[in-house]
Amino acid sequence: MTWYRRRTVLLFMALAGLGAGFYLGLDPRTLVEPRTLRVLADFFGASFKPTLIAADGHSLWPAIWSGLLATASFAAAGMSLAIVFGAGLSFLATSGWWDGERAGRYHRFLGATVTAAARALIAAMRSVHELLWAMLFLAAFGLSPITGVIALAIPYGGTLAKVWSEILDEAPQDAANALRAAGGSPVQVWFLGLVPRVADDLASYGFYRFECALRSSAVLGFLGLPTLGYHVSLSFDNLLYRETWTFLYILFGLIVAVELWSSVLRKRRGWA
Amino acid sequence: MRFELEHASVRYPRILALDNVSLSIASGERVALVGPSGAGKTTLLGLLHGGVRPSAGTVRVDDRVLGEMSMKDLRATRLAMGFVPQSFGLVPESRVLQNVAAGRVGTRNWFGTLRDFLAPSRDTVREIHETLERVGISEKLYERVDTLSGGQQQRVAVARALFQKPRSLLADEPISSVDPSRARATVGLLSDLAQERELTLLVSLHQYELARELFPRLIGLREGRVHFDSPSSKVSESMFRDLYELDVTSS
Ligand SMILES: Nc1ncnc2c1ncn2[C@@H]1O[C@H](COP(=O)(O)OP(=O)(O)OP(=O)(O)O)[C@@H](O)[C@H]1O
Ligand SMILES: [Mg+2]
Repeated sequence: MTWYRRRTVLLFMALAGLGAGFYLGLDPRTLVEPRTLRVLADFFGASFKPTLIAADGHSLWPAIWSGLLATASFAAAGMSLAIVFGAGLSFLATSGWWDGERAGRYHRFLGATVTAAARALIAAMRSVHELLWAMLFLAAFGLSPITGVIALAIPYGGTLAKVWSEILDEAPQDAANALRAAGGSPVQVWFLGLVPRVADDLASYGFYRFECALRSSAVLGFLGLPTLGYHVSLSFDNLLYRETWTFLYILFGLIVAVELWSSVLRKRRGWA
Repeated sequence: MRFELEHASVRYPRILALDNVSLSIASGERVALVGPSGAGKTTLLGLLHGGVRPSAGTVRVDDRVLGEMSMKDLRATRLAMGFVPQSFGLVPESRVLQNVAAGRVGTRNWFGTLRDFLAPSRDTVREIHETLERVGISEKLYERVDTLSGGQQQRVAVARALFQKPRSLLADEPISSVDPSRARATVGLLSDLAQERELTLLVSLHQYELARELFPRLIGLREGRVHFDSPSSKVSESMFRDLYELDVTSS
């Protein structure tokens, strides 16, 4: 890109930013209004004194434990289902699975159709956020645990399928071709020839998504599921900022713990 | 197994890799495929085992056209052919045992596949051990493939093809990475097995002496065309040298 085109682009981006600000009615003065400042000061001030005793004098520990357990459970259950969705769809969406079969036109057409359909389904699953899925299933199932699990599993399954199938498409094809030459079926070729070549990449991405699922699972609490987010929003609505911070720190600790765990696993297996 | 190419051509975007090749290989024949780099040896072997589609002409295996088979028949046909790719086609992250076991995928249902991969039966392990003994690396049974030398990996690929119990063996430069004495031993093994089990054997290699000594028939490829196709006793060293001559004007 030459310098004058770069300048045009920068100018355009600046104008677009200003335009958006006007359209949204952004007013920088709201940031420094006394009332706003007081709320901000209260809230962030409380971050230095999180509490383990609730306003009514009871211990917060039972709520912390149940929140933690629910957050981890929803994330784990949602991810388990997402891995099933992700594995199945990423197989169908991998461009190589039918391509290697050198049989007739009919099978090639069938393969291309199935792959295109799988990719469309993946896009649909991903394009709706887990909070929206949760609201949808809340309407259908009510505040049942299945609401949270499915709401997580659908978008996470779609994302896993998309990224996994891209990783698999990039995998070296020589082992897969050798297995096809030995008469392997598409599923065998996929499992024995492609997946082992990139297993470490698939696993590390899965782990990363699990960390994301923990955060999403916590956020689902804002809709009333019993995860950490539920306690965060409850205490926040009651202006009990010190309790809010306790739950936020617990959530932070949970994410860090998973991060450490995955890095230990990574080291042990010699992953990059 | 009987192979037949009828006016077969393979065109890649930039090059005609095989140009109107016709040949037939009878069941139980042992043929060496020779020719300089880029002559089309890999492409020709690919046509015969169904990994490459001809852009023109037909490929017949046991008198049936490969391109017209159902997926099931194609798999069954490919199961009967052992193939040793030039790049080995191994899974470096898996053990030797699993790589050799993969030779039988075509005969396994999903449960058998899983079992071979995770916990192969004692009989399977014994059989794989025997196969590895024949290629001289039985002590590597439980090693990860990426810890082996290039020559050892090549022998794993040969073992996988043998373990498949095929009716024909197609090997693409199966001795490119081993020392001369091991090269003789490996090709000798393929040739002996072919005679013993009445396999059709097609091996691409560059060694004149070995080719003449162990194969009754030589096919010389150059620039996608068959330069000679004759009993090895009729292929003189000068014909062979001509084939590899860099500045020979193609007739
Ligand atoms: N997948 C491909 N796409 C494009 N061109 C190809 C492809 N495979 C082979 N070719 C070209 O076709 C020609 C024949 O290649 P081939 O691999 O069959 O030669 P070869 O005789 O096996 O050579 P070598 O001894 O180096 O293995 C070469 O010019 C090569 O560049
Ligand atoms: Mg080659």
